Amino acid sequence: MSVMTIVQAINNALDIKLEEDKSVVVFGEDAGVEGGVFRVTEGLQKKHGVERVFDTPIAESAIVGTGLGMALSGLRPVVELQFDGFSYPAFNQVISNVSRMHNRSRSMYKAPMVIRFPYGGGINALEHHSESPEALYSHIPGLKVVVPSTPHDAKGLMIAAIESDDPVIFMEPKRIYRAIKQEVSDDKFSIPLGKAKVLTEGTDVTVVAFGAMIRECQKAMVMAKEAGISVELIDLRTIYPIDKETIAASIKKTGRVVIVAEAPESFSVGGELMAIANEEAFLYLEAPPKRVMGFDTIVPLAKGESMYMISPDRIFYEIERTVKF
Amino acid sequence: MRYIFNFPDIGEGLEEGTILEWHVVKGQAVKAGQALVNMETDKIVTDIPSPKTGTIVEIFGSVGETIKVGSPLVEIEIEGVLGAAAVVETKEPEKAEPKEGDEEEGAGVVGTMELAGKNAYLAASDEGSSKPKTEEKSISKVLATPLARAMAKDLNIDINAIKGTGPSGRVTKEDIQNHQPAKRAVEVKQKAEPFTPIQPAEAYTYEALSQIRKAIAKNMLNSKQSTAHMTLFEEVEITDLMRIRDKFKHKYAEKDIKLTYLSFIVKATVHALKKHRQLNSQIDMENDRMIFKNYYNIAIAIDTPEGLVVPVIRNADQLSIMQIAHEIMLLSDKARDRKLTMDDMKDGTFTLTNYGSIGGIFATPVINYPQAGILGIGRIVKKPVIKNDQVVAGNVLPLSLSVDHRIVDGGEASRFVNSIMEYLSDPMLLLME
Repeated sequence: MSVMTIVQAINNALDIKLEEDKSVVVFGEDAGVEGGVFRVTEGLQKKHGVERVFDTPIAESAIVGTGLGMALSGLRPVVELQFDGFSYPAFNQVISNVSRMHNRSRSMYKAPMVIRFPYGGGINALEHHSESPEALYSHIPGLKVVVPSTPHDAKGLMIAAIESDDPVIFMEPKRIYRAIKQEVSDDKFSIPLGKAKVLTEGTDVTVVAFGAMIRECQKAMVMAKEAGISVELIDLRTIYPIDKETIAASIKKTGRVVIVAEAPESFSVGGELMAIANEEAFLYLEAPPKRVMGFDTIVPLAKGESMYMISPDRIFYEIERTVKF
Repeated sequence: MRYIFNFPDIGEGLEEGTILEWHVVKGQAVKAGQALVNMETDKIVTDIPSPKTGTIVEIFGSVGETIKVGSPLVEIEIEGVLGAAAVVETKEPEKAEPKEGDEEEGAGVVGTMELAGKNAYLAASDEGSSKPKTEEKSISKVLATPLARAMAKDLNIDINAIKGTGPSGRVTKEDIQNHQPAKRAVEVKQKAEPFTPIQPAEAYTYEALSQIRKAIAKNMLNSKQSTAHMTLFEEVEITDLMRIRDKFKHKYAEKDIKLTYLSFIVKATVHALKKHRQLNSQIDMENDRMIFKNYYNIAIAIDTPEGLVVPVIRNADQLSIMQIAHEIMLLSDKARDRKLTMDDMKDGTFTLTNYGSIGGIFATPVINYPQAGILGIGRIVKKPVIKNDQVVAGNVLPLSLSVDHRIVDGGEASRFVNSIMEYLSDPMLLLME
């Protein structure tokens, strides 16, 4: 066991897979010598060689397209895009080729690649550096979308993502990259994709969140506990395929659901979760499902960001309203 | 006061920079924004501006030296006593948690990264390393639609205590409704009061409709369904009229005639109808034409124990007030004695309904179809009115005029009422025209 941050846990997962599977390659802008913009790949080039861990030009479409070619030819590339907002130049490769090569080739080819990038706000960054595009990627058939919230999960999910025969969008909550630590096993282990996790059991209301919002929900739950409200907290971990079973079972139990996510509310993962509440747990609902989400606008620059980001107070307010409905 | 200006993070992934050239020397005065030093980083070559106005007290690092982000660049004396302790500028005051060890150094990023403090440890997990536990949890709640849940909540019923009859034992709306009476019965028994349910045979009394009730029902419904009702309300001050009535009612009494306000109102109405023929008409939609009536038969609504009857004062325009008063008496007597004939009640052209004699102020009278309007007369009320800018006690008669809006426009209805009001507030006009 070693104490790790999310950054170190992902680094450890990549290290293990590079060591164990010679078909794994890691590359991206500054991913080689520098070890990535957030140092997630630090030391990997030195250890595994410039042939397998290397830098690319600033051309996201080429990074993803090259990765796809490698994947179709038998490698398992893990490509890094520097920020959420920089994934858009590669969007055409993702939606037109990566996601559908398996289907297009009538299963002759698979595209086992991981596209990883830091996402989300809360670090006072520039435009294109704070977005939460999970709904964009979850909507594309053929992709899996993963968001860890702890070092342990980050390692286990990354290993599962690399071993997945389907392309995986691996979104890393940069706000908590180094903000939390956890003892993580040094051995190889994996966490199955598509399985949400009940972090805290409760009876009054289900709160569903993922990524950096888990920590904010936990802060809100301290207030809820004081108010005598028992919250069941679910970490989605995998956005798609979404774990309907775990979510529905919890909502059936509590009869209420509050969904917390940073992305703009309209047409969001929050909307999908509300659909699950209605379709799977309609006859158990005690209150209308509620979303606590970002506003329908671009994440503001550093000065105004705090007004956009979801506070524990706001989460608690909606938890209380939903329970008292 | 002095403070130390640290080498700031000026770009993505910036770790360190190399000093190319100093633009300032020790002891030099600088202004905020003035270039201090030219630095080369792995991405750019740039001047670093001074954050403050003051005097350079110390310069850290010489040309060609590589310094780390966050290490001191210059010490500046802003103002005040020389030699005061230097204050290190803290760029991120909100970052209260101390850095631990050296592991985070070199993590140059865009923005402000939060670092794990002493309390930011998560409990370890063995998921993925151990066998997953599967446990089935049963849910003890009943199935119910949100509607049923809302009903149960409103009625203060514990829905989980109800046995559902819907699909898969779902508690339905009906289950909740059926749950209610049972609960009430229990409450009544607890009070130990004898409870005799009303037998259906005793709950209602059935009576055949009288001919007059049948006719009223048919006419009222026909009127409401066949016309476009519109009602307007007015008040008229009638102190002068009262004075005249008081003066003459004894003379009339000698002749056994009761001089009522209604007699004056019939007269005033006829005068007004002559000026506003639209109100003395009916519409003939089948032939796309109006029928204007050149006679003035004023119908009077009379309340009798059997029901409402509406006899007619024929050719009211040709009658004096005394004759009208006499006619009203005759018709009222006949109505009370149930001696009215069909002839007494047909061919009315406009109707008056005097509910004020019983008590109402305003009403929305139903038109006596196919006439164009009906005037409702309320109870005379004493209340303050303004006369010559003085508040005085007035006698106010409320009027409610319903018209068939197909025939009579709002403006015409108002003008018609104004006309009646003029006659009633200044009754001399009735003589002058």
